[in-house]
Amino acid sequence: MTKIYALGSNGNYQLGIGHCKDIVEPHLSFDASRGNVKRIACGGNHTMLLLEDGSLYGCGDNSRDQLSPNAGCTHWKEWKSIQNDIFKDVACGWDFTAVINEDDEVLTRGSGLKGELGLGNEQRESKEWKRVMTVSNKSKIFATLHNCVVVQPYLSGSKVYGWGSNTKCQLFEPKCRIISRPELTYESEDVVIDYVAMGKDFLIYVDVRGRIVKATGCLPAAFKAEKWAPIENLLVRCMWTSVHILVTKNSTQDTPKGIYSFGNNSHGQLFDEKELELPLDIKAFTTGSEHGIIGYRTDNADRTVVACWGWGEHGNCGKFKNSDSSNSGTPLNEIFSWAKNVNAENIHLFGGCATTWIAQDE
Amino acid sequence: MSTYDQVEIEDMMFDTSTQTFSYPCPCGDKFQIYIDDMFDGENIAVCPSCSLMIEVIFEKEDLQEYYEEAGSQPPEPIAVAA
Repeated sequence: MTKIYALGSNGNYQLGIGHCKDIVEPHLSFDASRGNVKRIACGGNHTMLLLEDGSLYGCGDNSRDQLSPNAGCTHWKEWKSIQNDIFKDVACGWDFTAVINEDDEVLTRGSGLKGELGLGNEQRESKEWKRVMTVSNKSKIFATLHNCVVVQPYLSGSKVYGWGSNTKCQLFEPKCRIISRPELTYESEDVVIDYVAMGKDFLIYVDVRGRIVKATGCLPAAFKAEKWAPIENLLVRCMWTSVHILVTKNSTQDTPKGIYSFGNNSHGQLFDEKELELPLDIKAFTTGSEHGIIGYRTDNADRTVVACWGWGEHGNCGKFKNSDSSNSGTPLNEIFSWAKNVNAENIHLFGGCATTWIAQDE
Repeated sequence: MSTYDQVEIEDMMFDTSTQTFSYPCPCGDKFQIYIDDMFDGENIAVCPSCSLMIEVIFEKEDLQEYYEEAGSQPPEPIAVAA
């Protein structure tokens, strides 16, 4: 059982709550009796929800057939089942959706004028699921605005394939405008890639030991991948224009536990531990387009709290107790809390384009 | 004027019917700027749904290919009556 709460930008019904007004306080969006949430993937204006049992739901903008052949229905105002198939993974880019189905096929749909569908130069829009490639079992898919990558097990390591925009060499060098079919971007016989954290035009590959093994594209200047390479147990998340690294253990003297942020700070996106007091016991950590979200136990452990920071103009960082600074930058702002009997491991956080998602397994 | 980000013209989408360049905004809407305004020196694209703005990186001569794509011409200088 999962209860999913949402807040933030909702102009295209992407919160799935039946209307299109922005939400500043967490609102119950989905109450799943069928099983726990596996992933919530957010596009520019559409949202996909994958449950552990493989059932897939969508809401929001369908004007580019991101959810289903729209046939005049340009928006799904509430959550609807995508179809009866079983899916293993899902990812959303700006106007497109990508999934891995039960047969380990990567399928895409929607609009991808920069090759995001991975279907070749001639096919930049699709009303139906179209097959991009077949992958091996336990593959994963990730996406950002104009790119998509698949991480596939290979021998004792991984292969990663990517497609979409390459104007910032986010996939590989040399620069080109469009990669319209999957191309190999990483291969190792012994390094297992866990995930690829994606900014709007950079990619950071993280392995199962929590090490940054590769970083490509237009990365924030202050972020030095080689400095981080020796350090394990990192959790890397990207906003569109910044990198955020959670160090969960005191791995070296130089990098004690904390959140290290690099990049665009126009709206308080960088986590500043001098100003934002870092909770000691962080249980969940993620990012949206230009805001951050953490879940933690309070110091005296009597509550589990979710708090946001960064750009919160659409209510995605919650309501402000004092002055409203959502247009400029948001200090760490508590948006949700539970009494101590909630197991923090059952709380899952997701971020979208000025949207914040809190899922609680029961 | 402080902008949220800088975006190169080659990363923007050009709509030939409205003659407008656009780029995704983190709020879900799109930054927009009209090609004739760029020809006249404007380089700030605004989002209709929020306060964010981006600076578009381009050279004036970059615009020619987009005018050709749209089958249109740059605006004529406005004659000032003596």
